[in-house]
Amino acid sequence: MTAAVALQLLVAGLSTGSIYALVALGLVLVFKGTGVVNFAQGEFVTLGAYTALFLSVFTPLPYAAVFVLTVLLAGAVGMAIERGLLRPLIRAPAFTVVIATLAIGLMIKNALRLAWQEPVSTLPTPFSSDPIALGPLRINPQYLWVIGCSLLLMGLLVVFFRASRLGKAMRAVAQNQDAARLMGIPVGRIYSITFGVATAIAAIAGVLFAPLIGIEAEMGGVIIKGFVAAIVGGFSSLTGAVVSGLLIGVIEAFGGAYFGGIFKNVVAFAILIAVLLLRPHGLFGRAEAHRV
Amino acid sequence: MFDRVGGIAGARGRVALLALLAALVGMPPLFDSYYHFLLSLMLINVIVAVGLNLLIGNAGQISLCHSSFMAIGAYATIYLSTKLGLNYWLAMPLGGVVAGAFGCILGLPAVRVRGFYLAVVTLGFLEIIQIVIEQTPGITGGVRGMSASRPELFGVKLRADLHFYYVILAVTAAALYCAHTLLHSPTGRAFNAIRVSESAAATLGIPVARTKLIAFIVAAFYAGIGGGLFATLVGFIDPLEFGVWTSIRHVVFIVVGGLGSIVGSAVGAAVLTALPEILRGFKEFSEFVYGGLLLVVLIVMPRGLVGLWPWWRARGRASPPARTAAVDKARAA
Amino acid sequence: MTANRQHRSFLGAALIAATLIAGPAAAQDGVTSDTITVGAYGPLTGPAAYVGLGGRDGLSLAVKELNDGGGIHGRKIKVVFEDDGFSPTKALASVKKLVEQDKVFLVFGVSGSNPTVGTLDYLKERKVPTYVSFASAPQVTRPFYRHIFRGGTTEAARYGELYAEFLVEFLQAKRIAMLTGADEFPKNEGDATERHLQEWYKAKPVLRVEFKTGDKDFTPQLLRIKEANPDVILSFGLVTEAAIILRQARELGLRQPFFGSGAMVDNALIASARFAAEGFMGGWLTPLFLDSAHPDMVKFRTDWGKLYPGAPAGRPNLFDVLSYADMHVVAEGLRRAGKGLTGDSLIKALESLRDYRVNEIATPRTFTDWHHIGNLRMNMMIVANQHWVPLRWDPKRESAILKDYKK
Repeated sequence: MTAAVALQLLVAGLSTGSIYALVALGLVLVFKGTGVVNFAQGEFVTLGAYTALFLSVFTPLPYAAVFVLTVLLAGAVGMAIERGLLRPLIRAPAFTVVIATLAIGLMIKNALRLAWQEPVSTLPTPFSSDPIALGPLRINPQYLWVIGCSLLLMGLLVVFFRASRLGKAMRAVAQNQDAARLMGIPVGRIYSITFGVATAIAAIAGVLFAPLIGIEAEMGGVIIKGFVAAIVGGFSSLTGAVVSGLLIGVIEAFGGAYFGGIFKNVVAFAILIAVLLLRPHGLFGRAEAHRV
Repeated sequence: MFDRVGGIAGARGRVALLALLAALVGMPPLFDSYYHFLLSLMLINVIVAVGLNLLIGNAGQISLCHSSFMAIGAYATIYLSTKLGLNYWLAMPLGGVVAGAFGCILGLPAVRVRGFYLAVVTLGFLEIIQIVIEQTPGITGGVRGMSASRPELFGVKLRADLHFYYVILAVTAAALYCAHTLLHSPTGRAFNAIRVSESAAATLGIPVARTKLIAFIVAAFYAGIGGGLFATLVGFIDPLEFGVWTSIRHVVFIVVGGLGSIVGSAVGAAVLTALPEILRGFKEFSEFVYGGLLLVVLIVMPRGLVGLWPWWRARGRASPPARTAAVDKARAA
Repeated sequence: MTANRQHRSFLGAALIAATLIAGPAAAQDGVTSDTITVGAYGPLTGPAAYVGLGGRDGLSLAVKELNDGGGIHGRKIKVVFEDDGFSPTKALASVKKLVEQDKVFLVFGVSGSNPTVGTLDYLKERKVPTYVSFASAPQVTRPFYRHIFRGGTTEAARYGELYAEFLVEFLQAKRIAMLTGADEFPKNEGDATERHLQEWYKAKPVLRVEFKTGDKDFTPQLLRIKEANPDVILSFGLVTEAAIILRQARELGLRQPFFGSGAMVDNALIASARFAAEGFMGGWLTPLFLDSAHPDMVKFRTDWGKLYPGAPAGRPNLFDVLSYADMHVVAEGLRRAGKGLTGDSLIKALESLRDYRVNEIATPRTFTDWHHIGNLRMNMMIVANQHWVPLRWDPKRESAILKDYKK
């Protein structure tokens, strides 16, 4: 394997890894913030991509406006879903809520599948598809845009959670609901906002990746790799989710080169098992205190 | 009418059970093979669901790869009876045993992880089994699928769905009885103890890891039996029948029916197998409607259908910890 | 008293005789004096929904045309459509329901191979006339069974014959690399092509790599292909993956032409891959592409649009055209069977068809009393100037499939 080939694989891996990272980010955010394992996160990516598609097909809005509008709409939909469908289940057993999110995802996927029946669609972007040549490397500028946006988003989230009032309130609710409530934080509203932010992140992933992977009703299947990344990261750490997502993307790319295309999918799970054997709480997770 | 594990108890329960059994035996000949086929599918799903319930509802372990054990049972049964020429009535239970063996293979690493981590590990197992099925066409037919023919019983080929249905009914009855017995045995009590608190169970001298392993093996065995029956009922299987959505459907059966309850799992499996057939009228919207109905049912009955039974509601023990506790767990990280 | 008894027994005998004579005709399921009931099944839900939705809507358009024209011998056609979710189990349940509950005369299959194969044993047992429009699995027509016909899609092996001949004779390809998806249809195409390259031309692909449906990155596979330096790259799979493969291939500097699966020939491919799709070649099952200006295709699109106003993007698709054409084939069979319509008379009528088609949007269908493979033709298309354009090429080698039957 030459250095050029390796670098090519690295860029491809980072790009695919970014989508895993964004999905994992949304999953961990919702779990930490509301205790819900959101099996519909993949469908929110799909919803984001289709929303952007409909906006660009049926309105004359330019890419930037479509992007922003999609994210805002997705956030609103996420908040509405939390308030309307998940809040009634707040005292329900964990399994019930998981199946409820699955049902929501199923409904979203079916609605989209019937509303738009092209086998695959794309999103027009202001970036040209001509690859940039850097020596022997040829990099599609979209990859750089996608990786760059993902990193920027993650950076913004770090700042948001550390510095802003809302971010700190969300962290408080994630740490201990009852204490947060005692401090006057409206826990219910924070739940909605958390869900809305996670949906918005999924929508960003959808819009960013639509030109690269195509828009179709099954694109939510990426959630499985998102779960793997979240677990490998420790399922409680946002940074962990991101780092694991990127790591899995890169190792998959190189694994595919060495072991063939079919085994690419197993690579992710092989990493999962290896990490869990060595560090049972994931790369960045910490051992839970056991209540005896 | 129900006991603490959702099995049948008491005089009223026994009468109801006998009445149901009489209906299941006496009424089908009045209908045609579409209904026999449907009833058979329902019963197979009952077997699979009851096995899964032992693992998830009673032992408290999460498994999203149950369809893989069905697949293993199905393909093993076909292979043993066609390629190795074994009698079907030997091949089918052996298929279950092979599935149980794979349950052990999954169980060995799985007992070391918990909660959602375990769920994703089982997803990995499912993925691996899918690839194995696809890449070994010599044994499984690969993506092109594989045919299976009906067995003979006392020299009579069970070609008619009605005849095979009676066989499936007998196996289902046996499976339910065994599940009931298991849950009332020390092992069954150990399952429940582990689900409630692993550390408490350990202090009581229960071998936690070994008990969990038994749960995995038994659940896999049930699924394998279900798979072996399924393959011969339908006559043609392919790997898509055993994907992640099938696994999720099994979990939905027991969540909607009532986690931890044998009757709940059976009812959930039967109702939710029949539901897509009832929803046929919605054509391309049937999945959308199914999702909507599911959501409504869950919001109205978060503990499942069996939660309507007031006694079960008061019990509360069978259900896994609610979300708020999960959130508190996460905060420690 | 004796006379009365004699009367009654005579009456009884006459009644029995009447039932025996009237019996078979009255017992024909699905046919009444004014209706023929056709049952159909295909995926309306799930990832393959576009197949079943196209199948159903094309079929219904044809039925509407036939009914508006007065029906067939005074009988209108009624269609009962069931969803099979692309699952063999659900397909079998659907077919049982159609045959036993709806008492259909004929089963029209617009599903994929695996679900269709799942129904065959039951349909054969019940001797229900069955017309399979889309499935390419060999079990449909082999071994030969009187009641089962295959229409639009050709045999899996035929794909291999046509592709192999096209690659070697027309494209003069010496070094062929294959990139195939792991699903049933692309795998069949890939295996059949490889087999016929070997059998007919003693040619072997220089490389064969696989991918899984749902993969979003093909860099590893494409880099290996680049290393192998082929003349032509074969790609079998679905449109979604094809769009990514083409784009990534051009980005990585692969200049070779691509030849693809029948499933990849779609305007969506051009819309997604844009200029990376130029020069892409593939097989198409009907003589005219969907955006052709030919009056027959224009009429089809207009009529379709009238029956389904406000239809979503992407429709009508190939499956609308195929099932429309095949329903007209069945209608011709119903016509030729005459007023006394039975399963047997329909089968004989269909077997009399030679190169029948309703108009130019369909490929001609031929059935005989020793084979029921309606279509052995495909048209090769190429993307030129962001449009699908037919290539003028006809295969010269005789298909070995019919030779097999003659044995």
